[in-house]
Amino acid sequence: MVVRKYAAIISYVLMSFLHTHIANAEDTTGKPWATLNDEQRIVLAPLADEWDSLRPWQRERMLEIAHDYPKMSPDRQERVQQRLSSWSRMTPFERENARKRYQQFKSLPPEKKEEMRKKWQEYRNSTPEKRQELRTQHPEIFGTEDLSAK
Amino acid sequence: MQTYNEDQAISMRDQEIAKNIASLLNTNAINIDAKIASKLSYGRQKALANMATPSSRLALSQHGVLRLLGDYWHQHRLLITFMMCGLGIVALLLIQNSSNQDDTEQGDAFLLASDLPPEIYSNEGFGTWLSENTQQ
Repeated sequence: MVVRKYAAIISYVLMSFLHTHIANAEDTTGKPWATLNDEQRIVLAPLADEWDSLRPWQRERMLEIAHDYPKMSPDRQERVQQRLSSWSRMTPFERENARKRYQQFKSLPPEKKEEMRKKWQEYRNSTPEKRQELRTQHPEIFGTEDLSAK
Repeated sequence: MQTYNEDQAISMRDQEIAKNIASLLNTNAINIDAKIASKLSYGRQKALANMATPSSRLALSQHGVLRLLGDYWHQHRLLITFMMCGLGIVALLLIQNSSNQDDTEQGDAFLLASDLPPEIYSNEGFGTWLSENTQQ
């Protein structure tokens, strides 16, 4: 009798856990803007106008960004918001390449990463003329268009 | 011989007394109140039923007892198997969740928050620069 009671309790807990897990998994796909919670709307505000035209998998990716957002420092949060719109406009191929290279960049020796950060810091602080010069000299690092504001 | 006769006489007398008691009870039973008779009948049936249940349990041989234990164990073995399966599924889901969390540490949000703008990461030239510096 007692065993049956415990079995019933454990079964209930298991079922609840599975139900919550499945519900959470389904929740993240294809949510319209109106159904997002306040936190998600604040983070994804730059995408408010185009949100409902995004594909379900794109929305899912963006919701993942909103999920990680609170873990970041305020300056990094600001960067995320500044870059969200351009990120959503990149093609899936460009984004996939960016992900791969980001991982590759993370695996570089610390001194190499630091060197690159310094170069970018200098580039951002330079005059438009100097930035143009740097882009011409090192397009592999600074790209072909001015990304200093991003 | 004398002792045997005395014992026989006592036994005869006891039987005579028992017959007299039974006769008296039978005579009075006819006059007994119907309500009391019903209560007595119910009590008798209940007493017989109580006697019957333990006797049927006792009637089970050692094999019966083992069989009962076997059934009990069988039921619990199934229950334990189901519980273990359930716990296994929960453990798998938890592991999956934690690995997903690890993945998000390397997710798009962290790419966007990086020191370099995402457009640089998608630049072919930067890919070449990365390959050169990774090999060094």
